[in-house]
Amino acid sequence: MNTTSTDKNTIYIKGIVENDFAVLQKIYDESLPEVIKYVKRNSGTLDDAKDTFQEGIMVVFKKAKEDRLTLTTSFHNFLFMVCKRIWLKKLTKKGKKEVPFEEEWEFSFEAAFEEEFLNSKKWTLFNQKFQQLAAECQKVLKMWFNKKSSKEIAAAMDYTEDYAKRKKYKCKMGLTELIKKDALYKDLIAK
Amino acid sequence: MAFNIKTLQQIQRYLDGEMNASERQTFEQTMAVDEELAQEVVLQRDLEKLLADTPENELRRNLQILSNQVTKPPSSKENWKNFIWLFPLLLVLAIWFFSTSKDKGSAEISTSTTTETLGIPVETTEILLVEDTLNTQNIESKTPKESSPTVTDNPQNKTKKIPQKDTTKQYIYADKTEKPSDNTSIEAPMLMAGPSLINHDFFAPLPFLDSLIAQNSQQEEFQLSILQKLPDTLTLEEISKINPLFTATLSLTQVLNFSTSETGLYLYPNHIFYWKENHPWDFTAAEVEETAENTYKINLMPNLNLEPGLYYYALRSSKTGSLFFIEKLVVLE
Repeated sequence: MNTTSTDKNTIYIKGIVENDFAVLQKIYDESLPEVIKYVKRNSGTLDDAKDTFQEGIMVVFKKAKEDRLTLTTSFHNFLFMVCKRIWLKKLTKKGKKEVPFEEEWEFSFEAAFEEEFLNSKKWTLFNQKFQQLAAECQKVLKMWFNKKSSKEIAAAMDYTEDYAKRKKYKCKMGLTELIKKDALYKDLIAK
Repeated sequence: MAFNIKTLQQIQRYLDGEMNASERQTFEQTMAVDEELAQEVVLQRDLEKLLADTPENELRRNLQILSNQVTKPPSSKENWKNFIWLFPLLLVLAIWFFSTSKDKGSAEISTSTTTETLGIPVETTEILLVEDTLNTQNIESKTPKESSPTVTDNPQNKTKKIPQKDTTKQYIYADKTEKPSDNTSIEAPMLMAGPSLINHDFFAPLPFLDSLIAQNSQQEEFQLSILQKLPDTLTLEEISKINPLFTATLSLTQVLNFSTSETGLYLYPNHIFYWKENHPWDFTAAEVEETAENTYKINLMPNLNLEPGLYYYALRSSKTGSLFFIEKLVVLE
């Protein structure tokens, strides 16, 4: 592998870690088509491919944050490999395919797949329900999730501290109920 | 264990590490036998983890935006090729039609098909983009561009339906929105989202949103009185001093589907994707509260952590995309 592709790899990985939209766009442009082709050839849909691709990038993000990720191939090949393994794993779950053993593949990655699969499903569900809450509740919960104290919430919302405490639990209760009512949640905890 | 606010508070204390050793032990023992409680603990832990503004969740959000842009396989050029065999066939058909019934319509079929084959010129990009945005967002304006003529829209085409047209239409904005030149297009328009923004012109206006601003006063269904209007230009320091930034009351003169939880005053950076995806700068920036029947008070709070640039702020329904009001603001260093 020459220096330019090492540089390129660094740029891509850094772009993912720093959430640089331009780099992400480039990754989508360059690498998604191949993943779509692969998934579609292997009994998947466009949406399956997009989900797989997103999960692939998230896995790279986590691995890159945990320890320094040194690639022995181009970023494009690497990401394709990750996505391919993720998709094969999903197929196996559906009982459709065996995941083949692959040489030169870092199998420690695969533990992250399952977790990311669940997390991305939960993230979508939670955000969808969160958007259904009243604006006031969204605001209170956002502050709470971002580790703001009841005192800070009270100040920002012009509440008394006592009311802020009750309000945040009330809002979270509402959100919890919305989520639990959804059939998708039952699916997720069954896994 | 029945789930109520008390349980929720207890779970929270457990997750925040506020229980003492014996309390913790009892709680964990209950969890071990009460599957429902155990699931609840996981859910509450996940909620915090996945809804906080962590780098991880911000990344997920951007990936979601990018994925939503892809409505057709990016290899649309290849799809195009899949249908290329149709054209000689159509041409032959047209010639046959022409020679059998010397009808002038036949010539038009073949010419219009050719226009369509070549009908992906860059010039159409913007028209299609605007049209599509209008369709998906369902903007309630009095002068919709529904019938705006597009280059590809040739009435004579109706006789022969060819799938390519739709493919192009959907793909075009899945592709880059503006195309200055092929190489830079990847970098140029998209650079505005993340914290590292290179090259992008933060002050470039969006003609599409500018045209919507011009339609602000043409609404009959409601009245918007702006109590405290924002100046067109503000410095970061000025913004930090005004609280609330913007106040207005909205009274509905006709019954509209209006709900305070779905409608808000949102602030968008100057890129069409933020608008299209309804992905504002800060979801929690503004609030809308009902003060009397059909009357609402709208407040835009500060603490937006803005960066210098051009922004559009709009009173808009997050569910239907209905637009009540839009204005722009230039933020200076």
